[in-house]
Amino acid sequence: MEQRDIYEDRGGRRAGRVRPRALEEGEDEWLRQARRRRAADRAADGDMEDDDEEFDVNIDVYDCPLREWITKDRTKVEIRKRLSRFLRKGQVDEAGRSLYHKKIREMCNNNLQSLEISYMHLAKSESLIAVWVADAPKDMLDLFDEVALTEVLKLYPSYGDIHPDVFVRIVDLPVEDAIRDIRQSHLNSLIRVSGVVTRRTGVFPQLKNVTYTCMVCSYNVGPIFQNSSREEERPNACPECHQKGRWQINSAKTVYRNYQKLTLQESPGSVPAGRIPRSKEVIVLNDLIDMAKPGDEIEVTGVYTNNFEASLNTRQQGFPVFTTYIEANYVKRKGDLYSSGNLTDEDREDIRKLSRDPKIVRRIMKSIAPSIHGHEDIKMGIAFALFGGQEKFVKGKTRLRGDINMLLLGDPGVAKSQFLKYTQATAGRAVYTTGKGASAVGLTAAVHKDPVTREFVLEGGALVLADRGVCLIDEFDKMNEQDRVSIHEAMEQQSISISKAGIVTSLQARCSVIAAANPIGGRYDSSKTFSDNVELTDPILSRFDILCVVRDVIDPVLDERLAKFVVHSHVKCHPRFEDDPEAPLQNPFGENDDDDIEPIDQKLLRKYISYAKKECRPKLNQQDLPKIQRVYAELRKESVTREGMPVAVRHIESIIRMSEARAAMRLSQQVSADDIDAAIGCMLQSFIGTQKQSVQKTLQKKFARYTHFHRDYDALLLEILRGLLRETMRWENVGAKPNSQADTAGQTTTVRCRDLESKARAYGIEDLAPFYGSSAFRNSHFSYDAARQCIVHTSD
Amino acid sequence: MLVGANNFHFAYSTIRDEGANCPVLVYVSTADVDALCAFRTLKLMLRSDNVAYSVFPVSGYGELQRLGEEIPDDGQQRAIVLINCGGTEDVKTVMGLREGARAYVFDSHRPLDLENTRADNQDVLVMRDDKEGEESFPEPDSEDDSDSDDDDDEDDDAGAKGGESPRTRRLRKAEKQRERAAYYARGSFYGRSSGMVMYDIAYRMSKDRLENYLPLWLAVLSMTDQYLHQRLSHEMYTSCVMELATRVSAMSNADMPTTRSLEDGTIVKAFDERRLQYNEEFRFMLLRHWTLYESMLHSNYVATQLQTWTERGRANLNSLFAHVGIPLDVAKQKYSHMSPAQVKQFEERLDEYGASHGLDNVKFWSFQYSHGYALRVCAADVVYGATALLEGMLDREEEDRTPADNFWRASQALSLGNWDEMEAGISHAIRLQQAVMRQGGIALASSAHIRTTGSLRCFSLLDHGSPADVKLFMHPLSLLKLALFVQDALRVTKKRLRPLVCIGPSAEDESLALIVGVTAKPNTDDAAGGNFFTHSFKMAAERIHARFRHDSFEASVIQVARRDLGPFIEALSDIDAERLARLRMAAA
Repeated sequence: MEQRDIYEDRGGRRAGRVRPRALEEGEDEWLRQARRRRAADRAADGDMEDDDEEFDVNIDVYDCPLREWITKDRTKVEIRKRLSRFLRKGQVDEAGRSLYHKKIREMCNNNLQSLEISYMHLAKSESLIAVWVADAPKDMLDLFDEVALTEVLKLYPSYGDIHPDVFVRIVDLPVEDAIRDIRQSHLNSLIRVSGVVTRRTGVFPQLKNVTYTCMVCSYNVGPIFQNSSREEERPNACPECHQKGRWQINSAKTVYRNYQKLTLQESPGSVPAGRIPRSKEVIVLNDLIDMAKPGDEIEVTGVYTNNFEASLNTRQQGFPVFTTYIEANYVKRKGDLYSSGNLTDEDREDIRKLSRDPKIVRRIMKSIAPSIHGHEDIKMGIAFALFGGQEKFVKGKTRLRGDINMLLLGDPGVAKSQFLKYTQATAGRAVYTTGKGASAVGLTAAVHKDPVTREFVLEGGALVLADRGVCLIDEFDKMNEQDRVSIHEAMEQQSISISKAGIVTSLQARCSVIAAANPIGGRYDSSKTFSDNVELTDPILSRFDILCVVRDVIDPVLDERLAKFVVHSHVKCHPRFEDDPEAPLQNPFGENDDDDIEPIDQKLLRKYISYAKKECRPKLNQQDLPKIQRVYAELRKESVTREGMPVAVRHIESIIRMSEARAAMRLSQQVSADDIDAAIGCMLQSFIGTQKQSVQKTLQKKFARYTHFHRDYDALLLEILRGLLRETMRWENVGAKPNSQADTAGQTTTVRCRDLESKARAYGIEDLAPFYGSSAFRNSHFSYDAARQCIVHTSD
Repeated sequence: MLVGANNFHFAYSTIRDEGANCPVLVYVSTADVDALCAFRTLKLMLRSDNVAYSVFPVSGYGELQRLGEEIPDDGQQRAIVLINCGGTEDVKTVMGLREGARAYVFDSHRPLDLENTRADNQDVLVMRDDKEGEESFPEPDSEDDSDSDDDDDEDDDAGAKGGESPRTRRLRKAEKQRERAAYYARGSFYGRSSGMVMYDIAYRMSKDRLENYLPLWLAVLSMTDQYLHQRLSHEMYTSCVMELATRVSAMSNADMPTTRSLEDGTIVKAFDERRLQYNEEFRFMLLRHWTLYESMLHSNYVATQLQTWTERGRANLNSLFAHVGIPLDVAKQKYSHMSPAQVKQFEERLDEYGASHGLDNVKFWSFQYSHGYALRVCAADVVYGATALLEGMLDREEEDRTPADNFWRASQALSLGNWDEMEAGISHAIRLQQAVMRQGGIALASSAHIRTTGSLRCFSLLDHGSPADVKLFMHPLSLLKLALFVQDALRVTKKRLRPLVCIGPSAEDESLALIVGVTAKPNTDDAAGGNFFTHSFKMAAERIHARFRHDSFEASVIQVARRDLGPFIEALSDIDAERLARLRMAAA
């Protein structure tokens, strides 16, 4: 009753609407009822004008099952009327215009076929229809499609030439179910599930409506609409010649639609403890094809239907059992990719403005893994790997790779895995695997039998999925030797060749590999040579462009800073932290001159990377090449005698790639001398880092003229000073008197200025006065004593 | 001396006769396609009369002067033909004409130097068609101020001279000075294209059927060239088109296919070579060689109306396609592969829906050239392609091409016998237009890029352009295209229209910058129009004593040293303010 009142009292609910005459005062009850009856008849016939008395036929009272009620003509007309009213005026946006008209306009501008209708909007304005959609979706969705098509044709009369149908997608269904909780009560109703796509078949055509030709008299019968999930219907006898003859499909008049099957598996996080994930089949039709690929996490809204399958009922055991699947209505990908196709004009403008900043390279490096302190060289390497160099084709055939591979080798506890996790969140496409969890086949490509077509198909492994992206491999040294060999080809030739089970082909694997490994024995022993320390062989080592050896060095200044940073970040990131108004925890390190370098927001950084990869193609200048050649020749000379990382021709290419990556960071089309210097510096750093401790100093001095320019003098001097401090402290510890050990607070160490100056002169720095006055000097608790000509460090 | 339209062919016959003695010297400007077409027509005529000639492509007045000194001084009667150059400067002094040499000037640039138009200047003949309208040529500067023999309606002074007081004479002299100054101060504008003038001569001499009506096609090209570079008003263009349309329909092989019978008796109908047709074309640039979507996105007309450099504009364009019923992926394929049914549907529906999207007046009358069934190209396409070839920057980094090399290349391509050359030019024109859209979009997107100093707007490619595109704009014509595009866009988006100055890189000298100026009102040839930048540039450069080069035939283009750019712009805005003040005083 109440519902009927609502439907008849429409005039009252709308502000400013004329009340139906039927409810005016002082009229005869009989007259009112007669008018109502007449209006009801008119409405049922469908000739109700729009702004007439808003008379809604009473369709919520029915005694037959819902699905049968919907198929009646009267109900259909009424439903159509309500739907078109909803589309026209149902929802208004902020400007007061019809929201769905705007959506239709957007859809048509992009030549799409799907109109998204939010279930919540429907429930608010037409609650009966919303309930019916959830209970009898198949018929209701067909009606929706028809109504949507008429509305679209009203706005765009020629849209029929572009697409013959328009589909309605239901978004925002309120209730979500888990895959393992779907039961028989959900049959034939609209449900929403989410999961991960594990398998996907190809695209097949499915019959939509069929026209048969009689083979005897060639009379066309049809078109017969196929009901999904029933078997195909064939006409029995030809109407013309009355023969129960054979039928042939008239392929000219038959309409097909696209069909694809996905297997959806529960996301691993939502499985209750101790169980393995279950999966369900999802059928996608029409324009939902290829919206999701294996490995994507999606959310599917669809109809849960059943299907008779003979294979389950081979033995007659009581009532037949059916298989079930979900016929998808709406597929949404969680975790949207920040592809540069989605960049708006403002984004592009922001990116261009950013790129004109002269310190953009340092800003990018600072914004990488902001939660990890220090490790500037690792951050630089990751930045290079994310931006990547330029892929080149020699004479159109041979491919020179453009991706930069990096290996992080280090002691436990230096945050290697954190870096990998960070890269996974930032890169456009990233696949994360660990050494023991991946096999050779899982890394490259697997061959398995396709259930639908029963032939062997290839499925890509981690390296193939990461094509045009980044592949992150943790615990690299724990991998089996046989497994590691499969990576060789992918890293250098950027392709994977398969010849098994009759499939001989080659897949693209143009990915950058960032790997983390531990040395033998857990800690890097700098007195041994490099190849003694690590289990990896030369071939795989030389395929890495950047080798970062991270050692856990005891350094009072650095440790103190690190401790401050970690404590600060833990306090700040606690969920119950409130901003303290009196003393906000300052950034504990007013570091060198990084005060004016702000890090970039992560989202913007992602868009920046995808824009740079798409638009920027830096070119190398001819006049800078001799420098690279000289450095390479010297490096080779050194690497023959020393026993560090072996230097091969690949390393020249690495230098070129890294300089291109650095130029891409600035969105510049030309590689400048600075970029090349920085790349050479990075290469030298990784080379020197792999040497024994004793020879590192000599090598550093030898290549000093290549490495030192790109940091400014303050940072360099600070490092020299810290090195001196470490030595002095060690010397004091060795030759210290017992009682000075007790006095740890306020302990001071002095370093002679003369030592600092002599070292600085080796780098060509003469004047140290500005360094003594700089903030970096003071912040690291150094103070300059001019009288005694020494530098004092106080630790507290 | 001015030569009217009736006497053009006499001029030509004199050239021919003098050419019998010693070769005719032809100096052609390399600045635009108009000169190219006029030259080809002249070449055809001279060749048909067996007259020897030598051709020198020139790119500036300096070069012209240098070549003029090389003319041998042997006292012979020589004919010198100047095409699209020499009109705006005194030919006698520039070329150092000696005894016996006579110059025939076919120039569409105005204002003509009044020394050239003096009636007693027998050595310089300037061709000027009366159809350009009544233009008053004040008397040039002469000592006694007595001769006047122009198109002016003034009465002869000769009669009145005697009985006048010196005061009246002084007054008259001052008045004539003012007229002269006013005539020059209009700035530069354009008259009838030299190609059309040449075609008139050819028609008179019945030579317009040479090589299957090639002169007619070349006349069409020169007229289209003027129209596309906004040197011609719409009304003048339409009247020229009408004129040529009558000639086209008078062509004998207009629509009749010839029938031939093959060996086995089947009768085949084929069209003859070289048909010209007169039809309506869309205003979409290079439509036939590009995709429909890209062409609409990049053509000046659609881009400025719909603002397609913004996302909203592109969405607007998409919605137009949705209304018309053409799927986007069909629109993004080559137009020549679009099915005829869809083409027709597009044309019909565009009439209906175009107005609601701001695209009215989307067609204009033009000509099409077809050669058998293979080649079918419209006049505007050829003009764009030939201009691109003249500008001469193509991707292949070959040896530096001089403007003369580019000129010959474009000239060969014009005959359309070898389609590859023209196709290369057209693809370069496509790239150039994309660069124009990109740079224009960057300029218009943020208001910081276009500075407003005083009453001028200024946009510098050197500061705000992306380096990859900037090197495409080294030639004045391409920079002019960019400036016209930005000005059209500003006309639609902003309320007040100001003159626009565009700065780009210079091709010859690294330290110079190329500057073009575009006026606020479209540059037409009515009484008040004219590109005043001709004078403003020169005055500003002299005022700040900058190093500059102002010798191109296109007077509204100047090259100034880069480090003087800042003061130059300020001086320019000062001069413009003075000019506006003068105009206001004159109007008041």
